[in-house]
Order: sequence, then C-alpha cells, then structure tokens
Amino acid sequence: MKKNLFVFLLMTALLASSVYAGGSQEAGSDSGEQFHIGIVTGTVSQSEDDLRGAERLIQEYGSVADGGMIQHVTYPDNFMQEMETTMSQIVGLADDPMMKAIVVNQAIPGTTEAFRRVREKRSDILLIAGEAHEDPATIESAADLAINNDFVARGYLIIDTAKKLGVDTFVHISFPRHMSYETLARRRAIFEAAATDMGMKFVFETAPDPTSDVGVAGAQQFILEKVPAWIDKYGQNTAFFCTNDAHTEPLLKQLIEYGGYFVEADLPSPLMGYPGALGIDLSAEQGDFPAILKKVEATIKEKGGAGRFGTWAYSYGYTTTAGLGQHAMNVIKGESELLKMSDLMKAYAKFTPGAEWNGSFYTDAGTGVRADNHILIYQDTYIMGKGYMGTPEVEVPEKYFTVK
Amino acid sequence: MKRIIIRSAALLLLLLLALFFFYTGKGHTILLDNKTVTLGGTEYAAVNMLEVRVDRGEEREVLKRDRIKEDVVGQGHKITVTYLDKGVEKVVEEKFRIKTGQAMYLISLPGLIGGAEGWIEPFDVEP
Amino acid sequence: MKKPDRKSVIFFLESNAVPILFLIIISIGVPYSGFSVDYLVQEIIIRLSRNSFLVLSLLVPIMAGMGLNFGMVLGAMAGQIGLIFVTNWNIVGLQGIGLAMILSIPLSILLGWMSGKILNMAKGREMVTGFILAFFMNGVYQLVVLYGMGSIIPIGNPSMVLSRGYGIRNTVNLINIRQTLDSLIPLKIGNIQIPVATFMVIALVCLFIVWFRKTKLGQDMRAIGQDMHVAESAGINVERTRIIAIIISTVLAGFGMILYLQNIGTLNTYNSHEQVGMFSIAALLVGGASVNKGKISHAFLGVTLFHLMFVISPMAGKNLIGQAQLGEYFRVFVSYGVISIALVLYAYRKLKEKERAGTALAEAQEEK
Repeated sequence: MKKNLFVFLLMTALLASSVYAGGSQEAGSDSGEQFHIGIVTGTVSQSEDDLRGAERLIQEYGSVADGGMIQHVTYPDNFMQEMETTMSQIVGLADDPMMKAIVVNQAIPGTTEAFRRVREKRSDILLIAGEAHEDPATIESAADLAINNDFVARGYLIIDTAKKLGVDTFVHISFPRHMSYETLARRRAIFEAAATDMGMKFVFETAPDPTSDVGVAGAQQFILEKVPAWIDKYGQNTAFFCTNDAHTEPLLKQLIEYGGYFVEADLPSPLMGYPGALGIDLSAEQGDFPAILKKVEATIKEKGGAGRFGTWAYSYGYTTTAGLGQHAMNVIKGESELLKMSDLMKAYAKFTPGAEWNGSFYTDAGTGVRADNHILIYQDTYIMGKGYMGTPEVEVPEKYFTVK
Repeated sequence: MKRIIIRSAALLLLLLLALFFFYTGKGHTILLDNKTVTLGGTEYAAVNMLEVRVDRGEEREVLKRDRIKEDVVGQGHKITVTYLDKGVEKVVEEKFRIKTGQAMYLISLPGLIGGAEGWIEPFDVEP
Repeated sequence: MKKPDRKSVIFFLESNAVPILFLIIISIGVPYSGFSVDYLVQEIIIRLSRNSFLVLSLLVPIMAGMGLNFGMVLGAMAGQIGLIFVTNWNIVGLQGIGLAMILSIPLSILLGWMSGKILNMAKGREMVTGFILAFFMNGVYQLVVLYGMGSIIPIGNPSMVLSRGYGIRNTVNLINIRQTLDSLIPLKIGNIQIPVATFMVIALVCLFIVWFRKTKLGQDMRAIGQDMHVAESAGINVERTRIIAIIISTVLAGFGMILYLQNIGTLNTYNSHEQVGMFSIAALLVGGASVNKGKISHAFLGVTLFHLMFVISPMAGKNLIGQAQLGEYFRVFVSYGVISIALVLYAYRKLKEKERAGTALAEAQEEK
C-alpha cells in the first residue's frame, strides 16, 4: 500500500513535469543572433546593490521572459547553509540552450562546483565570478574570470587615506569566521603592517558574527553599544573599518554622533549603511548614484560629518553586476577580450562616469604565482565634504604585496 | 571473553583497512624535468624532443628546458620515455618506488635516459 | 480490490496529507518553472544520491522513540573533520572517501555517546536538546578547526591553511575525491547520468536498517519506542540502548555527510554541516514520516518531493511574480510553510487518534 503510493506519487510528478515542460520549450528562440546572459545575485535583504545592478541591465537589455537578453535569478539569503540551492540555481541557467554567459555576483560558496557542473554540460558558456568568496585558488580553477575588490592594494590605500585625513588609530572590527577568508585575513595583515609603518596604532576588535545564533539584530546591538566606549578609549582621531556589511550601519550611526572616521566600507557604496544610519529616504533616486551620493553627502555635512566619512561614489556591487554583464556581452559579440584589463575597465566605466578605477591580477601570497584569470579592482575613494582622494594614482609599495 | 576477541579483531581490521587506504590512496606530485643536469659528476644534456608517460596515463610531450607536473597515486610506478636518438626512436622504461611521506619528486629525464644514478630525487617546495 | 469506503479514504488523506500537499504544489509549480524534463529528472537523481543517506541516518533514533535526531549535525562535523585530514594527506579517490569514513567513526562514536548521555538526562525533550547541543558543538568545532588546526594539529597542506599559519580556510577544495564514488560505475540513460555506486551504498544502508530492526537490539529499541517504562520493567537497559541508537545515527550521519560532500565537491569548512540536520529532517517529514514513525520509503519520497520543491520554486516564483528575488522568498515561504503544516498535522493526527481510540473504547464499553 505505502510502496504503491510512493511509486504513484513519483509517476504523477514525472508525468506532470513532462507534459508541462514539453509545452514550455517551444517559447523563445526566435532570432539566430540573440543570446541570453544569466545573472545571479543576492536578494534585497542581503545585497541590494548587486540586485539593482541586474535590474539596470534588464532595463537596458530586457528580461528573457519579455524576449530580452537577461535572465536574472537570486541565491538564498542564508547562502552559507543552502549551498545546494545556489548550485541548482546556477546550473539551472545552463538549461536554457541560448545561454551564453553566467555572471554570479557575489560568487558565494558553491559557485565553483556549480561552474564545474555547467562546464561538464555546456562548455560554451562563459563563466564569470564577481566578488568571489571562495578561496582564490578554488574559484580560479573553475571560472573563466574572477573579480574581487583589490584587498591587497586597499589594505595599504585605506590606511594611506586615513593618514591623510589625520587619523592616528585604526580599529579593525571582525570575527573569527571572517578571518578564515584568505582575502580578509590577508588584508588585515596588510592593514597592520601599513599602519605600523606609518606610525599609526592598529587595533583588532571582535564583534559577534551576524550569521551565528545572535543574528543580525544582536550583532548590530553590540556595535551600537560598543562604539561610544571605543571612541572613549582610542580618541576622536580613530578610523574604523568592519568586514561585515551588517555591522556597517550601526557603526556609521554611532560615528556620526560620537566622532571618529570611516574611510570606506568592506564593499563600498553610498548605499552601504548610510541611508539607514542617516535615516534618509532614497527611493526617488533609486539606481542614480550621483544623486544618491549628493543626498548622502548633504546629510553628512548637515550632521557635522564633513571630511570624516568616505565611500566609493558608485556602488561596488552595483557596478560589478552591471559591468560584468556588459563585459560578458562585449566578449560574446567579439568586441572585447575576456582577460584584457582595459576592456574590463571599459565595461565598468560605462556605469560609473567620472570615477577612476584601477586594478591588478591576483598573486598568491604563498607561491608567488600570478593568476591570469583573477582580477582585483578598486575605485577612487570619495570622502564626503572633501571629494575624490585620488587613490588610483597612489603607488602601493611593493613590499605590501607579499605581506601575509 | 569471546566478545573482546571479536571486538578487537574488528578494530584491528578497521585499522588495517585505514592503513591500506592511506598507502594506496596517497597522492604524489612528480615533476618531470628536461634540462641539462650534472649527476654524479657526469653531465646529461637535455633531449630535444621526448614523450613521457607515467603509469597508464596519457603520453605527454616535454620540450627542451621544460618541466611538467604529473599527479600519481600510490607508491610503485612505471615511467616510459620515448625519444629520438639520431633519427631512431628509442624507448626507456623504468620502475620506481616513492616514499609515502614525500609529497613531491623530481625526475630528470636526461639523467634517466643516460642511466644515471639519482635520476629521481625528493623535491621540497620552499615554505 | 474492495471498494474503499469514505472513512478509509479520509483516513488515507489524513495520514498522507503532507506528501499530497507537496505534490499538488509541485505539479502547479513545475510548468511555471519552465525547466526541461531532462534537467528535472537529473536533478532529482542527484539529490537522491546526495541526501538519502543523511536522511536514512535519522531512522534509528525514531525507532527508539527519541524523535528526530537534530544531533546528527555532530556526525556531520565528524565526517568533515575526516575529510579535512584526508585532503591534507592528499589521499585520492575512493581510498580517500574510505579513509575519511574510518576516521569519522571514532569521533562520531565519541560525540554520539556524549549526546546520548545528555539526551538521557532530558528524556521527552530530545529534539530541542539535540538542537541546542548542535549549536554548542558548532562552537567547539569552530575553535578546533579555526585555531587548533595548523597550530596543535599539524596540517601541512599550504592550500588548506590560512596564510597566517594556522586555521583552515573557509573553503576546502575536495577535487581529489570529488564524485569518485558517483562516477565509479558510470551509467548514462539518454542525457541522464546515474551514480550507480552511490545508490548501491545507499541500498546497503537500507538493508542494514531492515536487518537491524530484526536483531535483539532493534527489537529492544522498538520496545523502548513503544513505552519506556514497560521496556524498563521487561529488563531492557533503556539508557544504554538509547545511547546506542544515537551513536548509530551519528556514525551514519558522518558517512552521509562524506557522501554528500563528495558529490558537492567543496567543503564549506564552517557552515556545510549547519543546515544538514534541518534539511534532512524536513525532507523526512515531507515524505510522510512523523516524530514517532519513520520508514525507508518516507526518506526517498521525502528527498524527492522536498528537493524538487527547492529546484523549481525559485524559478516558478520568478516566472509567476516576475521578479527574481520574489522567487527566492516564494521558495522559503512555501518550503518552510509546508514543514510547519507537517508538524501541526502531526499533532492534529495524534489528537484524532486519541479520539478514535476513545470512541472505540466507549463503543466497546456500551456493548457490554
């Protein structure tokens, strides 16, 4: 009886799927020139900017459902645990015969394996990882191109910028799980080395992990309560940096009130923490970054924060999604070369008029081997009330590239 | 008493199985080098063109002054080198064993062809 | 076949409400998702081979009346530690999987014994205790892997240790053992690959469970599952038997995790284990099992339905509502909503059964 039920249910499910799927395949595939690009991002609650970048592309090239080119899907909010869902979302995109490129931003754990599976099925699909979370060597083995923010150069540049602003103490807020990321751990080491060399004090503070049992609320509460004490302890001329996005908002809120500096966020954007910390509504400016920056800057100045708060003028997540989508398109059309830095910068620049970019290829700290498909990039830092700091022109001393 | 014997036998079996897995499944990296080397006082010149195969893997071409990497599993291996000597194709076949504790070995192909002592030696990456 | 009367149809629907509900939602969702049949069938087969073993590991404690073993996460941790060592020693292929399994056994036994002891102190509240226990052990696991490995426990492989010198990186590439079991006996029907060897291992564990039920120990467990006090007075060592049930479950969960990760190919050092307990339990519930009743067929049906839902609902939600992220919310909402319904229905059914037994007793008494 029970076994029969099992078989029956299975058969019904398969039958239903075969009947329906047969019908749905006929749609699409009208012109030969057309191709599709798959974009995978987080949702609004995890990484809004990444998602808005995908919407920007849809606005220009149309969504596949409406006969356009962009197929946008999202990965789960608690992606660290639901790796299977992430994988099937990415691999599912390859089910579309017109799919020619898949861009994953951010390339959370599971992306590498999903890419391997796509490759086994469809070797013709271009696989691009934006802001890779997995270990560099791991993602490089599967992706055609991987992008990270330039954690090596920024390790020096953030300290350099802080120094120029007159900061004497640098506080780095993180927690053990993040310090298990090679990228974050190495940047921390560079921070420390650069700060010491420039005569600044480097402090490491631990805050709760928002993905742990305390949750985002608990982690934010901790920051809210701790910042005044930290300012008290280290003085007004202290710059703060946190590796987690959830910590950013309460940190900014308290820094505006109690003093202290904030050079830029881990993944900088005018939308990173500022709207919530300042309590401003940016729904009218959605996606228009010059307008957003203007409004945020005006509010910061009004609250007496001029010259103390910085960001990238255009959101890193937003431009990475849009820029990589555009780059993939250029490559498929034969207008660009996948691994040519200037072509990549061209695609990025399309979405960031007025802001300078710089970048380099990733070099493994252990072996000294340079990866040819892993590019690190960064944008000019914009300090509110001061303007661009010209970081792309600053020469990063050679020694920091080997700090580990 | 009987119970103890059975249990310790099971434990021993498991331990042996683990050791068996460890030894047969241990992966090693072998670097195959085609550069001019001096081994034991004799110089062995790099060979212009040769093809090399480790165990039952695919045949790979090693150019002059080139070094390639091959991953192998287990301790006992066979290396087959095919090269041209004055227009005549020659094949050298050699068996060798490697130590489990050593992750990487360097094989000098000219040395192997010339029949030198120490054509295979352990290789360590600088930490 | 005799004509089913109304009462038995209702009873059938009632006792299979959750799978039926899932089936209805899936059959609505599949056309909206727009996936091809090939893709869906392949996906189901992958998910079955990947998750069945983990789900099956839950069956033994259910038999012993200990509910759903949330503590299986402990086994998963043991499996992961086995894999970390195997990757460190560079043991390749099937031998790597085998060695990882053997390494996980002592750890699993230790962890299982500990959790069994604790659960014995919290009889009747095993599930929530196991749940919290998993949180606690997660902390210990992080401490050991993030600080102990590379400093106290020697880890020589530079691609695993953080460049600061100690601690395992957040992802470990399992390329050496990736899908070696799955592709041991390759079989391809049409476009669909079937991992025969993995299914054979799963079949083996099914046989083990069937056999185990018939052993003396298995019978004891069932007696304890029926009524602990009766079993106790019948001379069964309740505490010891319960600990053994948990140990078996933990060891199997460790094996299951290794099979799961050999298919996935990447180990998320600090997170892979966290959700397996939740998902395996959810899958089992969806398959029609309950806190005190779990069968092998429930495991397979559950994995199929639960994971099919996970595969189709994001795309179905997206195509239904038109926005990518709403698809994700739709998935979370539907999947977890149905799990809650499963738990509520279980309580409801228990109440009903009591009522039914009550009326039967009353009728019997009236007849006297």
